[in-house]
Amino acid sequence: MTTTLRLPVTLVLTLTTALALVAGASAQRRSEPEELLALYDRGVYELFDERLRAFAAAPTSVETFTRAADRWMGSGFSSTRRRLVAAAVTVELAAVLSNWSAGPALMDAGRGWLSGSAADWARQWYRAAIGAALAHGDTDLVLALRDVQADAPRIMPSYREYANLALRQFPDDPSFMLFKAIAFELKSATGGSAQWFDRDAIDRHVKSLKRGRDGRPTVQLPANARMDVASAERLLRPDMADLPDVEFVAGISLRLWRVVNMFQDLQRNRVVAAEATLRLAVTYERLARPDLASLELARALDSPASPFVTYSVHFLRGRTFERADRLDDAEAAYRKALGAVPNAQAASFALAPLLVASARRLEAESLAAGALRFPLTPDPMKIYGGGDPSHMDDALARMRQELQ
Amino acid sequence: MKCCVPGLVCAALVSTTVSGQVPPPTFRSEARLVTVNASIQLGRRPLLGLTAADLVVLDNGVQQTVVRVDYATVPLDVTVIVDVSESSLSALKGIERDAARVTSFLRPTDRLRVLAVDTYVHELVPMSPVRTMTVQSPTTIGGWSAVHDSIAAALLVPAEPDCRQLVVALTDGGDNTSGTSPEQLVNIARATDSALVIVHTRLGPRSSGVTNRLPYLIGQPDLRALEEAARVTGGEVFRESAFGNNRIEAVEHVIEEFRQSYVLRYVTTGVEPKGWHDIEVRIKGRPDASVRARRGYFGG
Repeated sequence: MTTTLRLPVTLVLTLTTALALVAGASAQRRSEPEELLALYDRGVYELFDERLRAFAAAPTSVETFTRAADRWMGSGFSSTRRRLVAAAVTVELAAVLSNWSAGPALMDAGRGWLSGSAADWARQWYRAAIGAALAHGDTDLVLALRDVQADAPRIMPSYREYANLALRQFPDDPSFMLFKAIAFELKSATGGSAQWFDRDAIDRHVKSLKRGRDGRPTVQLPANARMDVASAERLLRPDMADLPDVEFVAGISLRLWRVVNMFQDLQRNRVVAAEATLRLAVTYERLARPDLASLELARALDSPASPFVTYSVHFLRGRTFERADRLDDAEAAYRKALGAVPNAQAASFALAPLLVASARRLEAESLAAGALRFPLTPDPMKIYGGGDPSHMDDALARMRQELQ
Repeated sequence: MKCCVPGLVCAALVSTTVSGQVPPPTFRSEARLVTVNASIQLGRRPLLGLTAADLVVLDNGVQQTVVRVDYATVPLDVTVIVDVSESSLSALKGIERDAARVTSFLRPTDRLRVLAVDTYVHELVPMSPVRTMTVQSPTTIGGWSAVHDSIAAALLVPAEPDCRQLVVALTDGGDNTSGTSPEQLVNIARATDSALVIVHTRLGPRSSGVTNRLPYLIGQPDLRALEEAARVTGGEVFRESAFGNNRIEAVEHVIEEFRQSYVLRYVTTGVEPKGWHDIEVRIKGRPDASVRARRGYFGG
């Protein structure tokens, strides 16, 4: 038997109004993080993005955020969905933080709320989280130093290694392999221009080092010396151990060759081949092997590439041509770079002097004006160390899509 | 007519402007109006009251006829470049105040442009008359430095008629992310009418990590390119410390000194238009006078 409860219209209206008022009052009492979570949950992304930027610009207390998120998650009907929303908002927030110091703790909180999520959703979360960490230059969150340096000092227990965590769950995902390789690449960072030492040069150097071991000052291996794997391993033999700086310099070469191997492996995967080839070329440059770098740059665009990769490849080819005094080719390369990312500053200001030198000053002026136009275009060459941001953008967009 | 740019001037104009002074046309009948800022001093004081008759200008060794000499009356287009790559966001808040102070050294007919440089070059104030100036402060700062790009951007502006350009760059000289190479920066400086003055500030703590940098773009503070770029424009390099580390005072000094320099204009005669042109300026009968002027220009 069905009982129908009939209420007078006026009473229904009064109850509705009262509920709306209560809801309104409750909304007014909501903290800023709760507002953000609610906006994301409702899919009001334009307003969410606006509020998120303002929230991220101020000093962010992870504790305040997680407390508010806990409260918000506990107050809804679907706690599973709310946990996913909270996890998504942590990574959205981390991506735009003006001060990254809160980033790792935020990520950890978000990762804690991932449990129970579908595999693909978690995959996107990790892609976004690692992308955000790289964009902020936090390679430590992605990869532990001990992965890079066998003799690294003992790492704090809070070390996160997100790339390894993600790869444990998604072992065949090329994005995570690429992220890991990028983190490795950046952890092997070196300054200054490299100098290639061939086998003979290494031999001569070792001899000069040995001659100097009788108490006289020894000639040090230059910090920017790079060499092949065999030479580096030879220098790391125990009988060479007390030679000054050898371990440091040979170690850098070995690490860079490991980076080469990682990117070479990734070249076989079409999804990430273009970016892997670009980064392989850059690594060869860092090994003082511009000959190998040029070959890789020439074939980097054989696979589908994002504007980030396309721009970077053409820009670096332009630099190579310029060094070889092939100015027409350099100009064409810079123009192609700007075709991929219009108004990017590095290519604009690399091309402008070529135009000035060939009496095309007006075009150079227009190029310079475009490069300063507000808002500035993010330049792939200036965010190279942060990885291709399109990985993160794509993952954030997919998470939004999934949750709608 | 854009009189600040070495633009092409037709032969008819040449004949009316400097009638009877054009040498036989051994080269094509293209002539250029060339503007030269020249700071002329006796000891440390400006030498005043000079006219065209007092000046000898050589273009690639060929004496030219100065058609106009201005002193102190020509409005200035001043671009100030502020290197903020090592600053904190709170320090940026001072830019608006500093820009307002710089306008106090300028005349109503002068214009000011402010560029800030960190990882990118930001145009905080587009070239505008001092009375209408508004400052758009950057909201974030990257830790790198694109100083060469910022100077290239400052030098690559269209020149306005009847004015002269001064670029003042406040920087420690460090550059690690520019698209403009040091050599190219000097080439751009050769092709500009602007005078470039570098105020060398104290070296900030360079970002030590190189994680986000490209090996191609890594650079150490290298003042040589900046000095050379300044020198070819007739500008110079000051140390901020000479002004008690007061940047605004340094800018004031630079502007005042530039205002007290002469603007000479001549229409090229008897020289091949294309290629690099050496310029030399001398004062007749005053071997004791020192002249600082642009070293030449690129004829295209």
